[in-house]
Amino acid sequence: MTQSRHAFISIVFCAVAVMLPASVWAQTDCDLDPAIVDAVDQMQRSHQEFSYSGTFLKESSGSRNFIEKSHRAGDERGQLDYVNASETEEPQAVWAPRGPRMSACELGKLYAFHLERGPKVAGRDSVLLHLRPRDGLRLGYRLALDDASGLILKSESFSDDGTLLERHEYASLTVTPKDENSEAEGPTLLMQHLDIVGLPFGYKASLARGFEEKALFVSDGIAAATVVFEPLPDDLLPGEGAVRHGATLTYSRGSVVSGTGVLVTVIGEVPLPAARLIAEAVRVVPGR
Amino acid sequence: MTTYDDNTTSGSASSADHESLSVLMDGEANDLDIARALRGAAESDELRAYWRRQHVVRDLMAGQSGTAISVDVSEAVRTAIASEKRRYANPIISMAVAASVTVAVVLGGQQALLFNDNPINPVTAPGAIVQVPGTGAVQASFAESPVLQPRPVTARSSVPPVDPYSNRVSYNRLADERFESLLKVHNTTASAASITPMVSRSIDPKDSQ
Amino acid sequence: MGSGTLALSDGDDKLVKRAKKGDSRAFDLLVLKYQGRVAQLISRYLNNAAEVEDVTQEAFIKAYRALPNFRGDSAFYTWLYRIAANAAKNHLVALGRRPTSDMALDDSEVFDVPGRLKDHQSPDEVIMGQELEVLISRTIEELPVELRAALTLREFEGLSYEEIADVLECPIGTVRSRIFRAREAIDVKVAQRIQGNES
Repeated sequence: MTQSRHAFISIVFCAVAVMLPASVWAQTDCDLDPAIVDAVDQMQRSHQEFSYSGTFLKESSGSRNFIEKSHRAGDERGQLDYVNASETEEPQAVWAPRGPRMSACELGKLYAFHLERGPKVAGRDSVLLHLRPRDGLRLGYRLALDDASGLILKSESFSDDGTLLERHEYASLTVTPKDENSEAEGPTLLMQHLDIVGLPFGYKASLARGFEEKALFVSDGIAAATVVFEPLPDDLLPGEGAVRHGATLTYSRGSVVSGTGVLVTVIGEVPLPAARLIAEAVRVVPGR
Repeated sequence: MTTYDDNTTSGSASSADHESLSVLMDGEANDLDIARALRGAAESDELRAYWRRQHVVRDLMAGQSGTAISVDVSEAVRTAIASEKRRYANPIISMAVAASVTVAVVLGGQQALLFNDNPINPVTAPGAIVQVPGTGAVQASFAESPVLQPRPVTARSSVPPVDPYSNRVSYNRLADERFESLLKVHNTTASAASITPMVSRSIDPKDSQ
Repeated sequence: MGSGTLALSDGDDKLVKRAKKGDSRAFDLLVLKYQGRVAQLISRYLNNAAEVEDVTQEAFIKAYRALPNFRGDSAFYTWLYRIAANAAKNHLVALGRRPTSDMALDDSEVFDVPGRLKDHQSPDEVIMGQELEVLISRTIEELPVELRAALTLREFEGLSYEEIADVLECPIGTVRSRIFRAREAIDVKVAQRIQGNES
């Protein structure tokens, strides 16, 4: 059964301070199977509660990379290292997921969940959580979650027609629970959402973390896209184009608004119709 | 750093230029060598050819037999760069868009603007375009194309593309370039999503500063 | 051996630093230095010689524009390599487009980057490369021993001038001029062969 959780709320991004009620997480007040709610909650807590390190295989657009990843429970950052890079990649720091926790019920409006016994991945027992999009505005996922910790052992993302776009799968993984005596979990950051009309259903926009003056971030809680703006190159007429690398779509659209040429780019794990709607929902006007 | 005790380089200026290039190849050039090498190469086709040949030789000696020996794009690149320098006041990419461009969001209903307490132009009609005050200049993205001062374009949007095929090609190219330059940014911003199905979201923290 | 890789990075720092400040002469030297290897890389994606040249050119122009973003965390060539590979892939993207008469983009038109690679080098280039290799080794063998020693220590052992001066027990200035003279001797032969081919 789920329990209500208290969350500390921090104010981010804007000068305007907003206080939200202390308890934002609803009980299971929708029809979701409690086992699914538990699985979704545990998945979101896993990075705080467990340390892990291992090697996974990332398959995307015909390229395959073995990547070593490590993370300590509760840390903001972990480490990522491309093991067999043909182009030299230095080990990178990686953020642990640290956004606001989504309620399974909220997500359930956008994705249909299905939970079943999963295969062994990296020698560990798992459950398979399917997220089937309820519309054509987000990708589908199949996640193998570690029984013991809720960590994602394998993730596959799918397009509308069921094509596998990308797969990440741990080949080996060591998981240890966090030390009982370590510090309490830090405050959960809350996204201050911008109200933008015309975003695809379920998506919310905010200033992009770390790039607050440069980009917008648009997400439904799982699907994520970043939006940037540039002047439209001189010799280019309005138009649009897109490429997809694995699960990541990059959509660029040039338009003229009040006489100024603007190029909007949406990059993210979203289908084309969603990217297009996102690009249309934001406009640039010349300032005064 | 180095002094000559051999008198073999007391020959013509061009021999000294060659030697400066030789030393530069080895990373042992002092300031004089570099100045000489740069000036000489700029003024002499022969010196550039010498430099180019020496690197072909070095590649072959190192067993890099696949090096394309006959390709020479240096002239075309030189020309392209020179013409870019002329066109743009600041040829080095600047990340700042002209201050006159600001981000606006399309608002509906009575929602207040989030950036300050005194919204200007409260919106009554859905879909109206409102400028968001206080957001300041938008930093341009991280792409590689040169930044232009936005210029008023007249009747541009009413002109149908002459060649839609090449326009699509251009936009695809733009999109792909942006993928390369924005992926790390996106991984940073997307880590703010609650669930990260993409196990390998990674960023270089230096990039996010 | 691996000194070939070492040798390639030498001198780049100084040139890159100047190029970043806008000295296009320095960038020109970098182009001349790396264009062969960049073209080789690109020819693994494209098998048309004219396209390889176009995209090689494009790669360098992109690199020039992106120079302010080069922080020196990796070797210059590694960074350039990545730009060149991307330019080649972008070109494939452009090639993959089919003509369409209207603006609207639908899902089937989004280009999925397949990442195919294939090697390509023209027979002429292969032969030229082999001949040059033979020519170079023969010329080195015929060098006076003190020149041969200095060049070998530099190119095959990757030693610095100072280290070579230690080994050969001579002043650094001597090392410098011996290496230069060795290169001159090789250059005379190589220039003849290459220019013979380009006429």
